[in-house]
Amino acid sequence: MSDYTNRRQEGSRSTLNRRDFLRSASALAGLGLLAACAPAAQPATEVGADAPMERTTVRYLSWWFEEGNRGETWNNFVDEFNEYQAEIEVVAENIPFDQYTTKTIVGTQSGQLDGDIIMATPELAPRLIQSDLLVPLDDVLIRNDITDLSSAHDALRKDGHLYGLDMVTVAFGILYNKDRYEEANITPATTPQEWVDVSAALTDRENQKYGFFATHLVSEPSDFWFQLEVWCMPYDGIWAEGTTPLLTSDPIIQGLKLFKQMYDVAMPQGADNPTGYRLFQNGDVAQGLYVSAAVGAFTKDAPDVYPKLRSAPIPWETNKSIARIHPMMINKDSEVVEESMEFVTYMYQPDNYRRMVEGCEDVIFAQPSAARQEYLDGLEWLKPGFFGVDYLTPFDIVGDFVYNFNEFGQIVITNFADVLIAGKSVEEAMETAQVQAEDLADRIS
Amino acid sequence: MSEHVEADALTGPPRGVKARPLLRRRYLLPFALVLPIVIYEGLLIVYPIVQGIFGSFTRIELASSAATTWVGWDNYERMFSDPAFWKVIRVTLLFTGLVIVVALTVGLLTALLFNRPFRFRPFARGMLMMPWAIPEVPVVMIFIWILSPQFGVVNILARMLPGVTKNPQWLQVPELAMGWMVLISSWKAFPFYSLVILAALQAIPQELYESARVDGANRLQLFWNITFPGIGSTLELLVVLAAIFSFKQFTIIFLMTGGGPSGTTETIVIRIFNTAFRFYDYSYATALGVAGFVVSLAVALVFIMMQVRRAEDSA
Repeated sequence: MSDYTNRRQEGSRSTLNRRDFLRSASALAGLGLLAACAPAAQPATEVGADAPMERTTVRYLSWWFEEGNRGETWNNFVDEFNEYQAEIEVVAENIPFDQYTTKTIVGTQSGQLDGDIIMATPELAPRLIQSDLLVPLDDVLIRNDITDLSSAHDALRKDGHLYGLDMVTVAFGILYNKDRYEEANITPATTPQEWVDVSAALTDRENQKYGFFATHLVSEPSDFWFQLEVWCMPYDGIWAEGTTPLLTSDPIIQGLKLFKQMYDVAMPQGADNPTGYRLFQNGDVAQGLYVSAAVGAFTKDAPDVYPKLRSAPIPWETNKSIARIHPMMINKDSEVVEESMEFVTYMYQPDNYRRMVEGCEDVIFAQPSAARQEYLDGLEWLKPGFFGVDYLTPFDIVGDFVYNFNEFGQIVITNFADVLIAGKSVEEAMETAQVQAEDLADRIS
Repeated sequence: MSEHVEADALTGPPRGVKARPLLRRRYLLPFALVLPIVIYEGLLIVYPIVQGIFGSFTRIELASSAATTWVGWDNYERMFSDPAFWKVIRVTLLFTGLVIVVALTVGLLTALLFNRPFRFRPFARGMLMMPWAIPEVPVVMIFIWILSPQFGVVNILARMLPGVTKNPQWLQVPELAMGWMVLISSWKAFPFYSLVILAALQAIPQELYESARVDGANRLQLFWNITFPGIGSTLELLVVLAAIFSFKQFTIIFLMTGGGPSGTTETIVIRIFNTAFRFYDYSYATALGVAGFVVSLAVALVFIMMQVRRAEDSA
C-alpha cells in the first residue's frame, strides 16, 4: 500500500469521527422529518384558476360501515350525497361496535366529542343529550316537512328540542326455521307456557337439536343482558322505574322463571353466542328471540336458511316487545354544524330514508308514512312477529338506569347466572340483585 | 502541571476560570443519554400512575358537563366496605397462588427432563416453547372449542369416567371454571419458567454431582443438596415473576369466563376493566387500580428483601 493511500485512509478516519457521524445523521434525520412534515409537492399544472373548489369535510362516525347490507347501503348513500352536491364531502369512519360507546365516552372525557355526525346506541344517546353535547335537530323535520315521527323519539328530547333522529330501529321478535316447525308438525305458540312446550318438542339433545337459543353466559355480558332485558315483557313488567329497581316484582320473577324453563328444556346449555348463531344457521336451533337487524345478516351469512325464516306472533297477551333506536346526532363542538345538518337533512328526506331502510332490510320505520307496502309485503318473515307489535324502548323499561345500563345489567345477569348454574331460586337471586341495584341507585342519584 | 489537570478533571475548573466546552460536554453526556428513557418513563409510566392515584381521590362523571370533584378517601371507603372487593382479592390471590404452584412445578419437572440427554432433544425443546409462543387470543379460541359442552373433544374423555352421563359445562361450574383458568394460564406460562430453570441447571458445576456420587449420594440427595440450592435464587425470581404475570392475567380469563360464574374467576384486573370500561366508573376503577398496584409492589418488595438477605448471607 502506498504512503499516499495510507495517509488518505488515516485522514478519512480522523475526519469521520463519532461526533461528526452523529451530527451528520442528526442533520439527515432532521431533513427527513422536515420533508415528511412538509406538504406534498403539487405539480405546477394543478395549481391555477381551474383548481376545483375545496370541499368542507364532515366526519360521520358509526359502527356499521362494514356490516353487510347495512354497510353497503350507508356507504352508497355517503357516495351519493358527495356526488349530489359539490361543497361538502362526508367521510364515513368505521369504529367497531364493541368499542364504539367506550371510545365515544372516553373521547368526550379526554377533551371533546369526536366526529361531526355521530350515531348512538339507545344507551349512549341519553348520556350525550343529558351532557349538552349535541345540536338540536328540529330544523331537519321542518325542512323535510315531517310530522309523523315515531313516539320513540320522545326519549331524544330535552327542553322541547329534539337531539337525535332515529335512523335504525331494531326490534325483538321470535324468529323460527319453518322446516323445523313443519318436521315436528308444530304451530307457533300463543301463550308463554305453550312457547316452552313448543320449544321442548323441538329439542332432541342427543342429536344436538335444540328448540331455542338465547345468550346466557356471563363471559358475554353485553349480549346476555341485551337479550335478557326482553324477558320482562311476557308478564308485562319493567326492570326499574326512575331510580327504583323492580327486580323482585312479580312480572320480573315470572319472566326469569320462563327463561329458566327454556334453559332447562330447550337450550344448548353452555353454548356461547357464536355457537348458538351457528347452530341456528345450520338448522340445529329451531328458534330464537332475535332482533330484526340480525335477519339482514342471515341473507349473507346463511343464504340457505334465509328463505326458511318466519316469525311467530309475540306469545304474550300484551303483544309488547322492545325496539332499540339508533339515532343520528350532531356534535355541538363541530366546526361544520351547518354542513353536518345538510347531510342529516338529506338522509331524512322521506324518500331517501325509505331507500335506506329498505337497503338495510330493516322493518321498523321511524317515519311510518315513509314505509312502502310492497317492500313490507316482500319480507316473508315480517308478519306477524315484527308487525303490529307494541314497542317499548330501553328508556321505558330500565328507568334512570339507562345511564348505567351495563352496570345495572351486570347485577341482573351475574345473579341470574346463579339460577341457571348454581341452583339458586329466582326469588333468592333477585333479592340479592335488588339490594345491589338499590346500592347502585344510591350512588348514581 | 499534570496534578492541575487531574484536579480540574475531578472538581471542575477553578473559580473565575471559564469551563472548557469539552469538559462541560463530558459532564452533560451521561444526562443526555438517559434523558430519552427518563422522558419516556416519566410520560408513559410515572405520569399515568400519579394521575391514577390522583383520580382515585376524585369523582369523575364521564361525558358530562359536571366538573371533577375532590372526594378524599370516599372511593377507598367504598372499596374497603364492599364485600365484592374482598371476594375479588381472595379470587386473585387463589388464582395467583395456584398458577405459581402449577406452572413452576411443571416448569421444574420439564427442565429436569430436558436437562438429561435423549434423542431428538433439540426438537423436543423447540416444541416445549410452543404454548408460550402462541398468542393468548388463539389459545383462548382453541380452548373454548375444546371445552364446548356441545362439540368439545374433552367431553369424550370425560364421558369415559364412571358416572358422567352428559357433557359437563366446563366453564359454567365454579370449581371447574377456576381449575381450567389455572390450567390454561399455567400451560401458557410454564415453558418460559422451564427455559429459565434449564439455564440455571446447566450452570451448576458437574463436579459437584460427581463428588457427591463418589460420596454415595442417591438421586434424591443430589437433587435436594445440589440441584435445589443451585437453582434456588432462580426459583425465587421466577416465583416473583409468576406472581406478577398471573396477578395481571387478563385475556384468558376475560375471554373465557368474563369473571364468572358467580364471580368465581373475577380477578382484580377483570374488575378494574369492567368498572372503568363497561360501567364508566373511572374514579372507583382508579382506586381499585391503586389497590392492585400496592399488592404488586408488596410482592416485588418481598423479592427485594429476599435478595438482600441472600446477599447478606453469602457475604
